[in-house]
Amino acid sequence: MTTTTQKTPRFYLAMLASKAAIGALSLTHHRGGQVPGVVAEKIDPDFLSHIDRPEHVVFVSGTNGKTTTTNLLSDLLVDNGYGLVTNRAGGNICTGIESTLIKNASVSGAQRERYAVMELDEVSFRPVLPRLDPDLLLVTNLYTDTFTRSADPDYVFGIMSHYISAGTRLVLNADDLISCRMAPQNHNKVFFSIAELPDDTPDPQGIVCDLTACPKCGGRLEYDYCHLRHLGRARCTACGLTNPEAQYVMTSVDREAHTFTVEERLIEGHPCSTYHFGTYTVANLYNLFAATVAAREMGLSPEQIARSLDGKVNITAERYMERRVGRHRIVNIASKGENGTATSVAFDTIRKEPGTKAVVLMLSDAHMAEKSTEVEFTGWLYQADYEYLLDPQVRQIRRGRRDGHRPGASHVPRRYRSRHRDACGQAFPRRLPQVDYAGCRHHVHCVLRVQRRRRARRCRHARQEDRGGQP
Amino acid sequence: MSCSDTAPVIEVLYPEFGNQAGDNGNEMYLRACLPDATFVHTSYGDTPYLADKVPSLVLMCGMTELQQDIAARGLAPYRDRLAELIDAGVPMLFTGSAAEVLGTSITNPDGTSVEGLGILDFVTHRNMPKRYLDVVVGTFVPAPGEKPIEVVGFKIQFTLMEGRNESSFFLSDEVGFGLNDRKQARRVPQEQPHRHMAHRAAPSLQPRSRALDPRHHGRDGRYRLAFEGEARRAHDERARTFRLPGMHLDI
Repeated sequence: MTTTTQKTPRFYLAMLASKAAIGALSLTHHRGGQVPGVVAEKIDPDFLSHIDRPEHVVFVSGTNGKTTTTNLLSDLLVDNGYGLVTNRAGGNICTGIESTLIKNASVSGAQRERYAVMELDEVSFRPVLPRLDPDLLLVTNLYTDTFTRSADPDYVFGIMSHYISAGTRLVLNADDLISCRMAPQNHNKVFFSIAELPDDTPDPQGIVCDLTACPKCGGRLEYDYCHLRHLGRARCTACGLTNPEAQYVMTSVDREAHTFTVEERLIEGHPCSTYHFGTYTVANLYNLFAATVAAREMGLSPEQIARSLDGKVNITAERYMERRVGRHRIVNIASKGENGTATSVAFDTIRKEPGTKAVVLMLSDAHMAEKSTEVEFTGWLYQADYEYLLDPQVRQIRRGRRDGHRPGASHVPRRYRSRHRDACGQAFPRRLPQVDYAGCRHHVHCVLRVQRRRRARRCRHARQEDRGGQP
Repeated sequence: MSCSDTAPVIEVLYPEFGNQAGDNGNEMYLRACLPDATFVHTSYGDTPYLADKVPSLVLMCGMTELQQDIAARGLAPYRDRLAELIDAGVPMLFTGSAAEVLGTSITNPDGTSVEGLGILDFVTHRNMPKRYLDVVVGTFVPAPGEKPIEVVGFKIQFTLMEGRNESSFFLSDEVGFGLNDRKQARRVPQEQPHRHMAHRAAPSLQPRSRALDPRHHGRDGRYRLAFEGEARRAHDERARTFRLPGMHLDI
């Protein structure tokens, strides 16, 4: 446990106030993910510099998959006896990181656990990294994210790249020609890559691709193959930019046996290890692979990782749930809201599932419509591949709703609805026989909000019952 | 330079760049409206169609800052030809950050600058990480004496512009800021309109846009707006809600 700068009276006051805030939140049954950090920052604006840092700090960042990968990595480490703190229940911006460290600290600011594995928002590199320099940083990928906030991948890349220090061990995705070029000032990098897969496409997938031109010179790119969107192998015909050689390579995937094999080219003899995966999607493979590589870099042996993945460690249910009701498979896939890429990947997963399907689109971000003076930027809808749902195996599409949210009628683009009507001969049939599969919801940012609302509603009902049903 | 008797030819400049913020939807919607049109895609490094022919419309959509710099370099040899076509009345639809390439220069937060095409007299200042967000309702007059067209749009950008556009502008704003935010006001009185040249005013949001006016794509009456009823309802709803006091975009 180390301190970066000298603690001030303001720091101790901030610690006391934020600890009091945690107590108050607990008493009122609130999680208040970022509240302690907000309180601390109000009193001590440089709080993150003053609080002790755990002995080992790991950040996981990137547009898609960082939550899943952080959870997987944390689970792998915990399963192998590591004591760690994670921001699974907190936020991934500066105040969320502070809240996580506050919860792990004594009033003096000393950290209890030796390890911190935390998800970090890409744009939050600016306030966080100068104050809390990680030992290891894993970047999953970079895609277009929420446009209003994160603009474009070039902009996000510039922020992340600028604030990474030379000493941090960087774990980068060699298949992503955007993020793999990160932090040229850092020479402490290791890359991971998935070798060519049978289902690869010759070109990037999607109505919008984040890498249609060389990210360095704007020249034309030639692709060898793509695993997922623009992730794959490419070279610029003008300047020759290409993917770096990877030290961890997923050389094969056995979908029947649910295993993948990783060759470690850092080690003499290039030893191979085989690991178990649950549900096959390329996105899942990337998340699992990235977590595995980070765990290896942190000192877990292949045997330890394999044992954990054979046991209880897997993709968390929050993002992917599957159950069987009668002869139907019910699959629930969450994807980030206002994000065309994440939505498209979910649609692609659905269309590739075997059997006929009914798809329920549940748009949790419809809560934005409840703010009377706030409007949502809808440009992302044109970047989402709703056309994937034109697959003839998709027999039914319904708009669902989550508790407390209005359904987002306008969120099913007209371009899709019209074509689907043509394809099926009728508009949104309410009943269709022989549907084997149902899936997809959007947006997970407000999962906690929903839980809070549900809890508040339960409390309200309980109070009403205590008062004999009087509101 | 009219193409009124032939099927329209729409040149899309640098489509591999112009897909930010859903701007790829512009071409999708134009394609849906103009099924007979020929779309010519000009990638970076290619000779544009407009170099020696006259397209019915030139479309360039929003791109990243790096791509803006590359696009300005790529179009520099065709600067005079672009100006000639503009003067001849060929419609040019530059959406989002693409319009900034038409100015004299683009300055970066570190003080460096990139030369623009210099077709329009304004300078763009990138102010990252400051993000400017706004909603816009404005009117566009296709030609002197013609009926104004109401346009709605979003402004989401890192940039502000400096320049004089009193005599040459795209929209008179009723709601939202124009070239820059110095006079930012939610409801600007009609008699004191802000004026600016470019918005994120995608055709898909603009059922009354001149770019979609069949008269400008030949064969009067042959083309219909795609999803017209829904597009008009969406436009009217946006025009109504954008005028509500305090209406804004949030991060």
